[in-house]
Amino acid sequence: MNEDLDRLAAEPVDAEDLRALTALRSIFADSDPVPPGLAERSKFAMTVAALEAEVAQITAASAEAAGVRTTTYDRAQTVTFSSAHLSAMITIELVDGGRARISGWVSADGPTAVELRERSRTQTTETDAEGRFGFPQVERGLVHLLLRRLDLSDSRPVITPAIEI
Amino acid sequence: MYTDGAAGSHAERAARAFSAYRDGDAEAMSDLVDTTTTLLWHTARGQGLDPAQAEDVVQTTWLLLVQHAPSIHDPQAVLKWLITTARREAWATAKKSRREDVREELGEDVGATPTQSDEPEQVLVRGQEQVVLWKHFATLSERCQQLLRVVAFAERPDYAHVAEALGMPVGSIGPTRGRCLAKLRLALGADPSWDVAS
Repeated sequence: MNEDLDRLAAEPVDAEDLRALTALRSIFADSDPVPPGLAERSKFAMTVAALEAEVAQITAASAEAAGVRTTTYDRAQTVTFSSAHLSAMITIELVDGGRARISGWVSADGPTAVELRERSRTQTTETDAEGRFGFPQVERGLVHLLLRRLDLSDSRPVITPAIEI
Repeated sequence: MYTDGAAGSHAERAARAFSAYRDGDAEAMSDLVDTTTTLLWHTARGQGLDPAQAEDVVQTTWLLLVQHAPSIHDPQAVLKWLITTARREAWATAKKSRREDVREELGEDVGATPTQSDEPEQVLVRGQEQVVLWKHFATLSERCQQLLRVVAFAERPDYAHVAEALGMPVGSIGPTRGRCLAKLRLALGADPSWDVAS
C-alpha cells in the first residue's frame, strides 16, 4: 500500500487526476464561490495603501434629479463626498452611446488635480479657478476619483469609494 | 483551470504583472488580483475560516503585497508569496478566533491551537461523479484537503508552486502528483463507482 502510494506520488499528473481535480473544483466553485466584489474591494484597498490616500466619505447621493429628462440624457445623479481636507460634488449624466459625462466641483482653496480611475484607463484634469472640473467621456462601470492639491506638495491625496456610473 | 495557455503559467503572468507594477504601472496589478483572488479565497476557506474572516485575509494579503513590494526580490516567486501569506494570515486568524471562542466559554485564554471550524460545511454535490469524489476526498487528512482544494483551482504548471506555498512540496521535477493526490487516486481506483461515474 505504501509502495503503491510512493510510486503513484512520484508519477506525473495524468488525465484521471485532472478529472478528479475538475470535479473537486466544480464542487467548491458551486458550494463556496468567491464573494462578488472581493477582487474590486481588494484593489481599492491596495490603491489607498499605495497612495497613502485619505478615503472620502460619500455624504449624499441622489439617484434621480427631478426634471432632467431630455433627449440628450435620461438621468442625472449627484454624489457629494468629503474628507478632512476637502469636499466635492459630482454630477453624472448619461449620454448617448452608453457613456456618461461627469462634471464636478471641489471645495479646496487651491488648484486640484483630478484623476478619474476607470477600469482600464485613467483620465486626468485640473480644477479651474472656481474649482470646477469635467470629464466629457466616461465609460459605464465602477470609477474612483483621486484628488490631489497641486499647491500643497506634501498633502495626502483623497480618493473616493467606488462610484457606479 | 488546468490549461497551458500561450501566455505562460499563472506564476509567470503574476511575475510579469508584479514587475510592471513595481516599475510604476499601477494598472498591471488589476488582472493579477482578478485571477489570483480565487486561489487566496480557497486557501483561507480551506483553513476553516468563515466567509467574513476569509474576505479579511484576502484583502490583508493584497495589502501586504503593496507594503512588501519593494522587498520581494524575485518576481517569479510572487504567486507563491501570495499563497504563503494568505495561508499564514488565515492560520493566525483561525488561532485568534479559536482563542476568543475558548475565552467566551471558559473566561480565560488556554492557548488553543487552530482547528477546522466545527460547523459542518455546506457542500453541493451534483451527479454521481461528484458524489463519489466527495466521499473519498472527505476521508483525506485536513492538510491534504486544504492542498487539493487550492490545487483544484490552480493551473497545471503551477501545481508544484502551489503545493510548496501550502507547505507540502511535491517533486521538484515536473508536476508530479504528490502524496495527497496519490491517496485520492488510490481511493478512487479502488472504488468501482468512480469508473462508472465517468
